[in-house]
Amino acid sequence: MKKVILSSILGIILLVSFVSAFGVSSPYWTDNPLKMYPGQSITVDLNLQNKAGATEDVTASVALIEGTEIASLDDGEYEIKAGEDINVPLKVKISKETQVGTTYKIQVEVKTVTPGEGGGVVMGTGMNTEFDVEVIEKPAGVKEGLSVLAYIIIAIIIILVIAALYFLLRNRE
Amino acid sequence: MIKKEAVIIISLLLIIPLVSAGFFDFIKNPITGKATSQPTNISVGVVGTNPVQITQVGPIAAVNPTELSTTTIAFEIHMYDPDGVADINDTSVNATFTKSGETSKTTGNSGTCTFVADLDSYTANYSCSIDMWYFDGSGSWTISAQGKDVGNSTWIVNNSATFTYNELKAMVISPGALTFPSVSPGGINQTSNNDPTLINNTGNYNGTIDVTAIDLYGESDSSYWIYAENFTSGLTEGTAICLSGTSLVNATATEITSSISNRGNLSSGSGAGQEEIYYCIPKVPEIVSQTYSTEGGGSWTIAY
Repeated sequence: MKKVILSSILGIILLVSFVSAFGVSSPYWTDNPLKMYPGQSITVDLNLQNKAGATEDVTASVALIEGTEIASLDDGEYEIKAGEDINVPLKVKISKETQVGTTYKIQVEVKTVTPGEGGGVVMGTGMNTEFDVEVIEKPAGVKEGLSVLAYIIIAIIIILVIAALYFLLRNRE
Repeated sequence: MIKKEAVIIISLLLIIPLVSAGFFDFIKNPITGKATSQPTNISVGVVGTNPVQITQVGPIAAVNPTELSTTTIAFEIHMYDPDGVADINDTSVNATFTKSGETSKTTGNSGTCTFVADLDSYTANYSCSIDMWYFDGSGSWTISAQGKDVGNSTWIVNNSATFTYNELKAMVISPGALTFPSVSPGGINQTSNNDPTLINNTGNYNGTIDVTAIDLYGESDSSYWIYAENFTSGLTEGTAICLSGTSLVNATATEITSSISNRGNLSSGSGAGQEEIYYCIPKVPEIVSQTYSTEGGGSWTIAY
């Protein structure tokens, strides 16, 4: 009798029966490290997909677990509509002082946000994007590009010079 | 007299260069009004003696696979022929993607690329596309472009270009929640009654599978909970996993021993691209009777 009573109460039952689909694509992975040189900055797009015949939107939480010393991203939740995909930019920057040969590890955890509904053991899906960043010598022929700010400053100087010349000539006349 | 001979000699000199026939041919081949037959040396300009050259393939930026589907990769091939574009065999241009250990991919249904336009008098542009499947291996693929011309007909192959097919970690799991039969405190080897969790690999990742379990809190009284460590998980059905399965750990990704995402074509029906995970409670803890679920602590996660 005790067992019957207990068993009827201590039950872990299924109340929900949805199918969870999700995917993350990355241009770098364990066997395909990212190679960067000191002073370089790049953005790696992590592609979050809600396809595979998905009929419902998915909310995914994205978190940078490892590699925060060189990488950053907007942690938080992203909504991906059914049948669509989005890119989450992961910014990676190697300081100029970094020694060649240094290796960093980056790990980004992406999980579907699945409410832990009552009455069951709800299952969600997760993808860990992991890859190494290897610091290499700066390849020959690579030149430092001007920053946007530098272009703006140059443009302002040119405009000022032209304006000065204009007024100078006008005053002479 | 001398004057007369000089006239005859000069006349002969004038005639000889103009007449190519033998001097007495008119005896052997009398003039009949019919045109005489004779060997004739002719010079014909043959187009296409030089083979074509494949001057450009791609480039193709790194490509993301698409979950459970194909991704069409479009690219261009430039063919150069020193004999002119007219000598390029437009229907011969095709391309193949190859990678060690992978099934090769060939352009389009007809196996060829499509002529787009002449870039100049010697170079023509062709548009090609190849479909890559979600389960095709990640890494560097070689693009083998080939084509020939009309006159030379020698197949020219260019294997110099490559592209990167990115890694895609993706899955579809079902069912979306576990169920256990009603169990008694102290009960042993209680297996789930709706397992396994079927994991369909809808990407191209090949590796182990983790399960992150979360303690199950009482729905009526959340001050009681069942530790995640009370659960084991494994790849075989039945109570064997209760003893030999992997013990789960609260809020920690735990690799399921011997699990593999098993990259492959799910449509083949051979189990490729699939893995199954079973669950057990080896010993139900002595705990207050109520319903315990993921409502309070959050869902479990199956991950690569």
